[in-house]
Amino acid sequence: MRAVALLIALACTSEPIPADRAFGPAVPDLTAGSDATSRHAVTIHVPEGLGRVTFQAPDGAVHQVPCSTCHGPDGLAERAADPARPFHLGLTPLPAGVEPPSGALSRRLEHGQLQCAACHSSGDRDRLRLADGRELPFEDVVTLCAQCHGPQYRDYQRGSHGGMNGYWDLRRGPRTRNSCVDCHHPHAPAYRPVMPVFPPRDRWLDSSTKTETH
Amino acid sequence: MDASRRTALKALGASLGVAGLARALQPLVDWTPATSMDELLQKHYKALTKEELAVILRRLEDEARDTYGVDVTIEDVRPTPGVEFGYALNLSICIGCRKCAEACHNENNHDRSTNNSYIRVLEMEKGSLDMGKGSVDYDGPVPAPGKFYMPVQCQQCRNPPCVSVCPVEATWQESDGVTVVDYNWCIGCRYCEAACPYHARRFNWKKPELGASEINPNQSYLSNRVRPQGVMEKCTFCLHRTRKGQLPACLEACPTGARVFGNLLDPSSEIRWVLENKRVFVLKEDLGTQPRFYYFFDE
Repeated sequence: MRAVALLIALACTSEPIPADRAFGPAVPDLTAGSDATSRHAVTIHVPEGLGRVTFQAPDGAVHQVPCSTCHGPDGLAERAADPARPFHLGLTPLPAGVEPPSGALSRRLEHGQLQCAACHSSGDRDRLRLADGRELPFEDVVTLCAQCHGPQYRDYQRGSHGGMNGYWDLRRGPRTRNSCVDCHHPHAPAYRPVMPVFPPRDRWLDSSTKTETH
Repeated sequence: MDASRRTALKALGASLGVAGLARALQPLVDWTPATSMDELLQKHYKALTKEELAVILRRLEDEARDTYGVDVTIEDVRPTPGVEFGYALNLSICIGCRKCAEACHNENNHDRSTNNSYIRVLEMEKGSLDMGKGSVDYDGPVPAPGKFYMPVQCQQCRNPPCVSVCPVEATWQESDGVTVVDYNWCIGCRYCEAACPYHARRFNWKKPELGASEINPNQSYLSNRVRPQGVMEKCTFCLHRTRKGQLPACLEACPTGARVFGNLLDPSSEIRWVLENKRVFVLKEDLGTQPRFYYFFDE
């Protein structure tokens, strides 16, 4: 059985994702046009630390440990991350200012009913796995998310979802786009509430007074 | 008796006249280098030749250095033919973090003491579009339950009431749709502020307070150069950036990607896709201002 799994894994890795699937058709669509050759690139930002758990050792040192350090095809493969272990605290984000709880429940995956193997390759923990069994590197996570989140992916392709920087006019300069996991933690993707930055201040009123409302 | 009364009235009238004249001439008496003769005699932006404008830009750069102790570059960036700017904002994913207002504050050299910005973010009850009930000074974690957030800035109307009411034509609409102000021609009557149904214009009640390290040195004449006291100012879609092809500062600051900016005349642009495929509306459509700023929902 293990050999079969290994064979499948090998078969998957030997079939690379075509270039146009890697990020989906987003980039070609955005740059399409009569003078497409003269357009600048749209780069998708890849956050650091993908596929790694940020772990603070008892001596205070911070390590980034790849999943494959412990979870390989031969061991711990199907074992869910033990939420009670401090090692796995970095798997899900904590709201700002909240101390890590000792209880196990709050450290569960908060992504529907998904388990590790839904997105991670069982054979190679350093790669992701699409629903059809094909594997892809962590950098191509947008393609993975797009499997289930079609409307968001469509909006992302069309520039109406997800932050960006650079040029609106790609004939004059490049653009950088956030990837899904820049803003949505893959293990707890709901956007966390944030504190707003400063409000306007009416110079005629005491700062404690309400400012104008329209 | 009559003669002396007449004399007294003459004297009174004369002294009033002299006092009035003195009052009228007060600006000349109070003349300081801050208001140069060049500035007083400066022509309207549209009447300036390229050479005259170049002289003015250098003078303004010198003044910025003298006043704020920082070297700035003031350019005159003109509209690109075939470009008409449009902006759309996705109310479904705006979280009300005010990062856009903060970016505007920094990019456009706003007065630090008032937290001024061309963007007001309204916190509104879900199910209502009554802007009068929106709150601008909300605090605490956002998005709050039951609320949605609607940033409001200049809508760059195709039919701008602020332009029609200006008595001196100090504000006008450019070919790319941006309504601009010649800060050196504005007389500060604030008619435009009163005429704008979106509360998008600001008045410089005092000279902006800005530290040398806080000033954005990349400036342009019609947009983000530090404004003088007593004139109107407004959002220009960051024309010093967007006319060079860059995205506006508020869009780059948006963490959720709620903002979509682009060329309305380009059928393949993102803004056109939003207009053609999303549920889009404009603010106060019934007024006939025909904004180039659109709001939309995802589903």
